[in-house]
Amino acid sequence: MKRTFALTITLPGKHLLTFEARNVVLPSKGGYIGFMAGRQPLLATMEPGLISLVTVEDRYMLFGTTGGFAEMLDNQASLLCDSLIEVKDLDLSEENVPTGKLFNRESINMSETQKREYVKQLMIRRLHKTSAVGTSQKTAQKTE
Amino acid sequence: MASLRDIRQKIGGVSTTQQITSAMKMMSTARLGKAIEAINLTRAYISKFEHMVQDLKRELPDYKHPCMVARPVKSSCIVVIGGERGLCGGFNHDLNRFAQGILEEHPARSKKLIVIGRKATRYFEQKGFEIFESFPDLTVKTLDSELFVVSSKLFKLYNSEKVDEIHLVYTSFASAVTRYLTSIRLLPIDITNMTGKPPAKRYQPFDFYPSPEEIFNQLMPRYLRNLLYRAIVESSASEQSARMAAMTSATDRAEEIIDELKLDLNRSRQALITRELAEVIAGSQ
Repeated sequence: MKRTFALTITLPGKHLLTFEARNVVLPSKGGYIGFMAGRQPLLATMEPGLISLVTVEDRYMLFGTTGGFAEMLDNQASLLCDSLIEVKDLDLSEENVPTGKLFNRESINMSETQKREYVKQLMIRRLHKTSAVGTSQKTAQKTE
Repeated sequence: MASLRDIRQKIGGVSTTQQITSAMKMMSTARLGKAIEAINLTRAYISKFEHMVQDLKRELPDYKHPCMVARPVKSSCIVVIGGERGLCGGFNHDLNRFAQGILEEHPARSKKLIVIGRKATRYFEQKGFEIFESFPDLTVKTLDSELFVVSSKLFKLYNSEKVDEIHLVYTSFASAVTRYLTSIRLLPIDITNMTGKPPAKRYQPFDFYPSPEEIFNQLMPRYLRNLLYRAIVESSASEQSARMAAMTSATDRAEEIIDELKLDLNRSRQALITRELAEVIAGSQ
């Protein structure tokens, strides 16, 4: 059985990104859902949150979205996003790392700007956490 | 006959105009390229949306979303997407006349007019039409922030039964030289008009997160917003292509005028020299 699937991320009039992915995790209504190649057909809504995927070259990629829809059919996944935030759009300096609780995730009460801000903060927090974990693991290896 | 100085001044004026029209032509060409790319991406996005609607409809054949139910038309809303600026040949004039015709001939008793674009707003104001709402500054640049407002207003208008149908009038883009004046019914949505989905290799039931009804409820406002998005992007591309054509012909015409004026200038200069020579010869005899 094929271990990868075609993943397309589209935005109205702007982006069309295509990947050959091993897995993808996206923010659904009830929480984050992930799927891999050969999944049964799926149609889901996306809430403001993070889209993370691993490509066929084992590259981890992170995006943010303010909402949209995801469809998986015949080993092809399509993510129709309202807007897409990429890592290059973020200011990753230390002072921008959010502390404390973020907005409530109930997207219905948020304006588009609030959604974007919320997703950006989520992304910054995730990126800092993963880089901190990477650094601490390297330090632990050195001391051993 | 005009003096040499007058003709030189005219040539200077025309060549300045030619430089401006040529610059405008180049700008329109660049913008048109971007607009065509945006159109292609938007069309692909919308066709995926339509496939999703069809998948949902297959799972829920009897489900009727309020946006898909046609009701007797007492009140109608017409949304006109006009041009942003002038100097684009007959683009604005053609669209405004077309929209006015639709507005006057529409059989609904009550009609609400919503206008997008500065030129169309000014036209309907001058003609004395009652504009229900106008968005003169909504352009491709401000789409991300303002389109959401417009589409939610339209959606509310329809859902609150203040209007029974919404029509969209705009210039659709076919190619750099072809564009069509288009009028489509935006609401209620007719899913039979959607692009057909290629049949699946084998039927497998879908998993839905959350329920199909809830997905439908979230899908429809976004579908409406994307149709509006496509219409605005297509209208903008048509405007740029019309401006490009207008500026090309203006640049060509300026070139012709300059050639004619240069011919006049040479003729006048030669006549002056001949006259002076004749006077010198007459004086020496």
